[in-house]
Amino acid sequence: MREITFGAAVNEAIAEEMRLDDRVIVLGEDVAEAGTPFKVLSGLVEEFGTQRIIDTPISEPGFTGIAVGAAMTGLRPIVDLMFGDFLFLIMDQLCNQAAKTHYMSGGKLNVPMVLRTNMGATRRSAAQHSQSLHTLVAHIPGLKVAMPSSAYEAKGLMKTAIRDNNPVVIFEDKLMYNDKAEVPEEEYLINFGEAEVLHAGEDITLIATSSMVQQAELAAQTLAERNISAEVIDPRTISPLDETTIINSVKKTSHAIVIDEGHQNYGVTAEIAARISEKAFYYLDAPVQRFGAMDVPVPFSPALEDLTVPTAQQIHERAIMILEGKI
Amino acid sequence: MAHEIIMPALGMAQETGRLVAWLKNEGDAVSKGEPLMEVETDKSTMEVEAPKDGFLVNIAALAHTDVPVGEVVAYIVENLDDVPVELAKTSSVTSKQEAIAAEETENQATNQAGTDKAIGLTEPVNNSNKIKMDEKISSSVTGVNLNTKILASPKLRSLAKNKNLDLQTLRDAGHPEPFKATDIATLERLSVRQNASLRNNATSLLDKTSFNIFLSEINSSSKVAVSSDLVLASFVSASLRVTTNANNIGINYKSGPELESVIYNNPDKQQLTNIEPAGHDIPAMAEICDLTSTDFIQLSGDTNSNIIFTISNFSEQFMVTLDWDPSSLSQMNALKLLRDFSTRIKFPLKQLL
Repeated sequence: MREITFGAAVNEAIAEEMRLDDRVIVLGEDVAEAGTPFKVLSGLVEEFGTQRIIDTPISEPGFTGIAVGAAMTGLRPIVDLMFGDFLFLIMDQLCNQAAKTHYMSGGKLNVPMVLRTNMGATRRSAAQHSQSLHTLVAHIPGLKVAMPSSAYEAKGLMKTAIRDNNPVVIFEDKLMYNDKAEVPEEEYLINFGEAEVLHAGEDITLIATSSMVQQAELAAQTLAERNISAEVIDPRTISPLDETTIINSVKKTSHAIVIDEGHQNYGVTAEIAARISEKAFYYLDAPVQRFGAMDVPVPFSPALEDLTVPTAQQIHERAIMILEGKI
Repeated sequence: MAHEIIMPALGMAQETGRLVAWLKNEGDAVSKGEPLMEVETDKSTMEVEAPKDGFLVNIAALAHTDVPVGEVVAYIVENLDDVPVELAKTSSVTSKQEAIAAEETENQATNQAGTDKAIGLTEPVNNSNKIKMDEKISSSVTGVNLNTKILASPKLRSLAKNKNLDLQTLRDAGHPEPFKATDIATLERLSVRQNASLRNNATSLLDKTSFNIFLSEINSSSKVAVSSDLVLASFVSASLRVTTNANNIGINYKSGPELESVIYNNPDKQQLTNIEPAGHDIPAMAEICDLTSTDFIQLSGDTNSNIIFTISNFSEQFMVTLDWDPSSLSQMNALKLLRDFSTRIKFPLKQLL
């Protein structure tokens, strides 16, 4: 099968959906000629023109608000938020308007909007351009949150998001844009709320999202060398969350680590760990471990920045400690 | 919940206080506000009052001794079943070095659990010797928890519960905590051994001439062959009925080279020629381990029975050993049971009367 990059997969998903449905538009900063700083949208403006690929002024609240209104009145906008860190600027448009309109209009209005943005540290972008803020969004009822971990998932989840009649936020790991993976040429969708078991195992379950999936898989490989069989689960969407796959896996393995690049405190790791403790408690043979990013602003110093994000080696070490009863 | 009684600081620079006298005794019921002990400093003497209703327990400091400020000298518990026993005592009488060692272990534990817990444990206390006191309190508080509560994974707890095993057995054996699911094998082994060691036993040698004659008489007059198994099962069942007055008696009969198990329900109430094995769902009151077709004369091992007859050949005699769990059968009744059974073997014709 052909291999394409994560960035190309996103581009392809948007282009395909724009060809299928002319209500789909893209708006944001530098999305047209520039094709975004990560060059993910390059080529779209040539095909679809500036009426559908719209460069906006530098005002995140402005263009997000426009998109919410456009969605309510019949378009299917894709908002491009250059950095996930800018979510703080659009909290009202996203959380108070987009998330609640369907409910507050008694079901008369929909907001079929996709917000694509990014996450992930270790790109030397400092504290205001390196955060992974998906937890903030997942906390709000009415918003769906997808976290692709490969080119394949990026395309399938993006297409599902565009077709969804509710607001969806997609977080892309900005370090993954050049990573290649097999992506079929024929059309496919990935349903929300369906986790992927990437690596089957018996001894411990590693639940990892987005950027941490690769780390968990690497850890599973090194653990296998020590005859420890780790099961790696990628939830793919954290809202809705495929609880069943996770709980069934933990019932089998009795041990779990949840790994996510958001800050650990009150994070995705905490949510998933809590659900495991609630629903698989009597199957657990050790406390469920949360493993998120360090609870500090992301440092600019490369040496320090690298320390704040979970690594495969640390996951490996924690798994050993859990299985040896040291945690 | 145990409430600590500590040596209070009555002066700003005071390091120890003299415990003049206890005004209550160990185990006494006390009400809130009631004086518990008399304490003397270089300037004054005062009474320390009970901070709440309950019982005074674990008195750890003697009258007429100097006690460091902040040290736990006793506990008040809401009811006497909650006494935090040993550890409360250990933590308050330990030497300073031991206290530090305990503190370190506890720190290791809390480090792993995250910082929240450590903060929670060191709530500020109104005292001039604050830091020192916090250390002591936190170590004794964790001391109580760590030592009374068995640390085991939920999975192991479920497994142990299903198998009706007591985790205390693992702790008594000094097995390292927290216990995990893999420890179930050790727990099972220890539990069997423990049950075995709890059992009492008595052995007798019985002449089997009459028994053999009896058996061949029955077999010559009946069309259906009657095995010695059935006769032995009936005799044990009858003896149990006489000794324990039980109505329903299930016998788990193990025999043959593989010690295959068959359950007989009330065999003594049935015609010897009609006894049929019952299902394995019938509870077995006693087990018969019939080694007569083997070379063994004695066997002990895994069993859940409280009453076990082991029957073997011993130079033309039956060797019969009765093992019993003293919690389900008194020694007097056990010996009565064995005597009754012996009589039946020696004078089998009495059965027919």
